[in-house]
Amino acid sequence: MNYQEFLGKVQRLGGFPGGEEARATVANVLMAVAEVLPQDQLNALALKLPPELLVYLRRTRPEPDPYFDSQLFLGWVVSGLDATGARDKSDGGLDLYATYSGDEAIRRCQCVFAVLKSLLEPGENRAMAGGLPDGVDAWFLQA
Amino acid sequence: MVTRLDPKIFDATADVTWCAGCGDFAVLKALKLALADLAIEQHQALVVSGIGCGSKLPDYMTVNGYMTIHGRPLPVATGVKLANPQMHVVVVNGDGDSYGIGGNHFVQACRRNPDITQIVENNQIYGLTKGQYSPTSDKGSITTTSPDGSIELAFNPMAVALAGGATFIARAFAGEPKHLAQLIAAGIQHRGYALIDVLQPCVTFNRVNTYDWYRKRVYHLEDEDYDASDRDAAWARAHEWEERIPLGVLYRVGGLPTYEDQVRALQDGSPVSRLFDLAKSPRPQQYERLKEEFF
Repeated sequence: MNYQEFLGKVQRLGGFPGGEEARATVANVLMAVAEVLPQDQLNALALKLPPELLVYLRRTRPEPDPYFDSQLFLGWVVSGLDATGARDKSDGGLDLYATYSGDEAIRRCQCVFAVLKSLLEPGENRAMAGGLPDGVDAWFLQA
Repeated sequence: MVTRLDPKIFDATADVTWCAGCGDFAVLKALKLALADLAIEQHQALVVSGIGCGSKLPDYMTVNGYMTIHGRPLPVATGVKLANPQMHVVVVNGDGDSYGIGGNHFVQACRRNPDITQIVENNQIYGLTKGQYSPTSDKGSITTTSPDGSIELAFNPMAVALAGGATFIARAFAGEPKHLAQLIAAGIQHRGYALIDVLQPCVTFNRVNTYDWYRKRVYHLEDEDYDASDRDAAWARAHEWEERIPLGVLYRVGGLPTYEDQVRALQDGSPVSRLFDLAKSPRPQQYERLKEEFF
């Protein structure tokens, strides 16, 4: 699968009107994945991806942070999408200008995960899920 | 040898109302890890906060907590420490609370050297009030209150802390919770005022200083031949920002008296220790006597 096909699949799965949203989603999810996967799994994933996406497989430190959890993972993804206006769930809808991007961020993660899974063997999928933080592994397996 | 506690003992049941992906989650986790690593139990710690998203943190921990008013956690924390020096006092607040309205207290804490630790959740924005520029917003930042770009030079907490006489100055990144936890623990162990400025993305209202933006710029001082006792070196590093941002302990000096050490009225013991024999369980009548003095 080449780069344009990869983006196109993500765009269709996500229902994004434009390619730029798909590109931003793919970039942010892959950067988050790079922060948590062990190096050997990252290397294995890199072999399956279009070369244009390898630039996103860089992490902050040489080793993954053991305390990098699902919230931190979402933070990378949420940064790349427009905040979704919605009624504030915590105050029972009293705040009309609340923003909540968590559900949409998870949905977009799963769009990218679905395409990644299609590139990997079943054993590789299980191994990748095992390298993801609690919660993120479930999003991956359910994608 | 200290037996590490389970960080889960600090978990609370309150619903967390931070945005999904907020950097405050990492600060919360790192603080729990630090307290657990130092074997500080729930009743031995007090978290004092101001007003803001990050200042909701005490609600999300099972530990003594005190939410004050905007900009005022430092004087409250100082007062608590004077009354009960055995309490581990940690201030948690945002850049607006600490460096804006709380700026005066910040400067005084630097020069007074009370034995408290301050964690500033620096997201370079006022988040709770939905996206106004803050003292640490970069010049030119376009926000709801700076539609043409901020015209102000950004506040430099590292440099101000160093000039103010702070004895422990560190910077961390919310995207590295393990390193953040280590710095918080070091700050708590430091005898004196400890500042940990945490670069913490606001995923909803600050779309410039994102996790990726920081990832491209941060580096660790401990990876270089850096001497944290060198004040001149610290001054130079305190001014690094645009291309390279140093993380780690920028400056540390030990052995200086704390504010509490020098208050003459405390020479016979703190107010709490004078009321209670802390080596034994306090008797109910002592509690009643204490309450009568305040109510």
